Amino acid sequence: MSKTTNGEGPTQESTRRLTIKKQTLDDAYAAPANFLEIDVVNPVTHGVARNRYTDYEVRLRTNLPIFKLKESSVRRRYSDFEWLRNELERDSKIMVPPLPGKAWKRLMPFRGDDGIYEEDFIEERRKGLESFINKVAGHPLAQNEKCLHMFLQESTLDRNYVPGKIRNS
Amino acid sequence: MSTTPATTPSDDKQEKRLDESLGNVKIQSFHMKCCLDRGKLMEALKHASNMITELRTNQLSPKSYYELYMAVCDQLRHMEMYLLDEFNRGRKLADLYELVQYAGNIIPRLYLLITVGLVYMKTTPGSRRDILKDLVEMCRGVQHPLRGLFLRNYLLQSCRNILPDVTVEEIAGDGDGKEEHSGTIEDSIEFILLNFAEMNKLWVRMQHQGHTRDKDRREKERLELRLLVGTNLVRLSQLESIDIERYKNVVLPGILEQVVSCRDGIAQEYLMECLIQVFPDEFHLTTLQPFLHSCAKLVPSVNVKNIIIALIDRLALSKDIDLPDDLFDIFSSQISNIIQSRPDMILEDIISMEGSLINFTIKKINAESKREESIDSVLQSTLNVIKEKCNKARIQYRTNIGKELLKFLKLPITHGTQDGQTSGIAPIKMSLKLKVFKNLLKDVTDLELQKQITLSLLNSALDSGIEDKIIEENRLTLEEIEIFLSELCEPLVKGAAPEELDGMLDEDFVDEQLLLSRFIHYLLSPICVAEDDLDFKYLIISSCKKILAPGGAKRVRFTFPALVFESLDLALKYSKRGSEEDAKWDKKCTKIYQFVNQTISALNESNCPDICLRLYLQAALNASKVGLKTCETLADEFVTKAVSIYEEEICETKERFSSLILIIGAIKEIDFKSAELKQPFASQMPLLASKLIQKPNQVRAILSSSLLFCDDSTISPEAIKCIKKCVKIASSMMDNDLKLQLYIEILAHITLLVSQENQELLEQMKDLNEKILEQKNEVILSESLEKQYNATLNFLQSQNISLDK
Repeated sequence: MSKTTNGEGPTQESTRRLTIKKQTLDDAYAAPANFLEIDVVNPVTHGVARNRYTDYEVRLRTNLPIFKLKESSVRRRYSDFEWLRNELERDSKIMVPPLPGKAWKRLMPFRGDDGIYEEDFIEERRKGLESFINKVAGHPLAQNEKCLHMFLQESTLDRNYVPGKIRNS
Repeated sequence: MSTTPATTPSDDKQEKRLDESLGNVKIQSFHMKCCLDRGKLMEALKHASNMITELRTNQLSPKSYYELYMAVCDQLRHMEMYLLDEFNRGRKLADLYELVQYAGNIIPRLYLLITVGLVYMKTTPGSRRDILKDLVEMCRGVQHPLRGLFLRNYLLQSCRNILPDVTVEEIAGDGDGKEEHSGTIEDSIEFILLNFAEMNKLWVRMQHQGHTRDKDRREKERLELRLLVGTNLVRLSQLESIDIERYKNVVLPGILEQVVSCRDGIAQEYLMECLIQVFPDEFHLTTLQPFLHSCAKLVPSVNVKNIIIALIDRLALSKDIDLPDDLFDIFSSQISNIIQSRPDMILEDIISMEGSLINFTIKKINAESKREESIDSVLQSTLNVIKEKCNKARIQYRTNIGKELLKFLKLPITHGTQDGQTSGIAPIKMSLKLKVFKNLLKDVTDLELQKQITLSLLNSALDSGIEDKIIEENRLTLEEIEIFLSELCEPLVKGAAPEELDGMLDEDFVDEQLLLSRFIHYLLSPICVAEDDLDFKYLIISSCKKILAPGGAKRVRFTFPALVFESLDLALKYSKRGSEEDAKWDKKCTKIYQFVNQTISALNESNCPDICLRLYLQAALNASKVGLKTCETLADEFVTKAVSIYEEEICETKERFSSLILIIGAIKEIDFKSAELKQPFASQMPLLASKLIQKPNQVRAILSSSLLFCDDSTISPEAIKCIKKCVKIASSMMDNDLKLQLYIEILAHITLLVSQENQELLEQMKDLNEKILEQKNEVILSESLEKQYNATLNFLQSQNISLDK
């Protein structure tokens, strides 16, 4: 607790602050420079019997300079997300969040319903994937990984790519 | 597939979270008060801090957050009261002010800092300047929009009563010469402007929070929060030491700077309107230029029209202040400035903006000629803009622009008139006085829109009727009448008439034409022309005819009869004057009859023989009364025309019968003195009557025509012959009911003639009665016939006439 020093009133003492630089009007009202929004939408189930699978549209919008495209849209299936997660786990230094579960039970034969092709299940998984990819892509270290950029912005996923970093030029 | 964003909590969840938070506030505030009661300030502050911690949530919608905030503020008042008491007990507030800054989290820290700061300022006025500045700066620590907005609102509300509201001069005047004063108005202005800028920043920034797809919901939430930002402006407006100079040099530039730079439509539109509403008219008048100049710089999504209209309307309603003479010119030029600088502005908005300018001239420019000049100039610039934007296309009535334009055009004619006359002839007079008005109608609107204006002018005149107060200056000149009818009424007077469907004209068309014909009568009423100015009336009538005639058969059918009736009325008025008052009255009357004759002949082209026949008879009756030397010849001529229409053009059975009865009636009424004129008609009528198709009609018409052979003193043999013929026709009827009915009708008819003794007639009656009695045995009389028969018998009895043989 401070004491009143000579020459100065109590007020000056308790309101002594660091001086800060005044914000310019342009800064004050500027749109955020770190805009990144990824939607996982439009699930479609393709093929029949054993070749059946569901994929999702992964739609990205951003103003971050590290992304080559400011808007992009690709289609990815669950196994692609798994691939991305494994790549990041191996190469980056971040704690990669978990994916929504594999749903082993739903893959069992002799089920009365459509298993992993049930609408409710697909919707639940879609939400999980969306939350996963937003967490990952928002991380500055993950943003340096080549695999993330390929996953988000290249139409086909080349699993034989050469892993590496991207530098923000 | 659309998904509900995880960030939108459902209403149920909202309520649950709010309830939880409110519950915690209740518990913590209870503890806080207990501690205060026991004098344990440190403990109490801890509980207060816990309570305020609830405001850290980001799970609540603005509405729920507001509720929570109010609950917390309520409880903080207790703390404030306690601290005031503490001060009186000798506690140093400076220490406390520092102490609360050790609160671990920024939200509780700042709420407590404000609470303590307020008590500090209340108890130690000398601290105000520093504390105010410190608080408003410290609040920067919260940059989360919702939390920051409410924190700053707490700051503003808490300080509202201790903001210094004195000038430096006033302090110097107090003369105690203390260097450390408790602040001046400049400190308050700085405090509020800074708080405002920070709040506006947070508010504008809110739009970037969360997912793009929730943007609409966020915009709605932002609108709900606008009052928080606007309160800063309200607070400024309540400071009495802010005079016009301070407003112009410090306050307004400070606000406009933020408004313009924020480049956010919602904020700009709201704050500009807020400025207009909260500050007095005098302030706006001195700062019109910078204000309007800023309007031109707002982002395109702002509806500048609303702001301009709000400002103009506000000044148009001002009562206590003198407006500068050039105010209209300033508005006018600034509006065209704005239109120029915003090429995307839609035409509706431009029109409604110009409309508010007209509204302003109506309310605030008192000198009539200046007002009309101003309105004309607004009309002209509107016309120019429309021409430029529409690229020769006409504005359709059934579009939004059309509706806006209609509203706009009605403004000057319904409200801009002298003495605030909004009905009667005044709007028409106004529409003629404004030079550009009809150009707007003719150059840029479609026919339907023009028609709406015409109809509204006519209706407003006719609705107030001819009982209206007479204002001579409002009467139209002949030239004005001609312009009005031929140009402003063009949609009703000219153009292709609609096709008839199953012999029926379009209902709207008929209504319009009837309106026009009523208007012709209105034009000749005392509202529009002096009662005794007969010559002028004649000029009006013949002008109308000239303008209406090209409208074609389907239109004149409705309008010409009005002209005929007005002409005949005029002839009667001339004749009442006689030669002493007007030496040429007879010549004028003769001219009128020529005009009537021409008009009816022209009308006869319209395939409406029934109307023409009646008009000829009306003309004949009228001519017989005016006392011209030639009146019988004129009447004869008109009746002859009626008869020839009857013979050549009326075919329908019922119509033939009623027309013939009308002709007979007219001839009887005219009562030709000259036998030479009368005889041919009299002898022609029974012949025409006996040619009718149905026997009962023959009987009735012949009975009527029998009266032509009688007068007060004589019953000519022809009359008896007619009656005999009727009895003969009746006797030949097969239908006994009808036969009896006709007998009774004939007998009743004869009673008209019994005032004169006539043996032959009496014989007729006796024969007839015998026939009736005979028939009555076979047929049961209807009640009404029985009545008629008995009445006849009673009448005869009263005349001492016996029908017994």
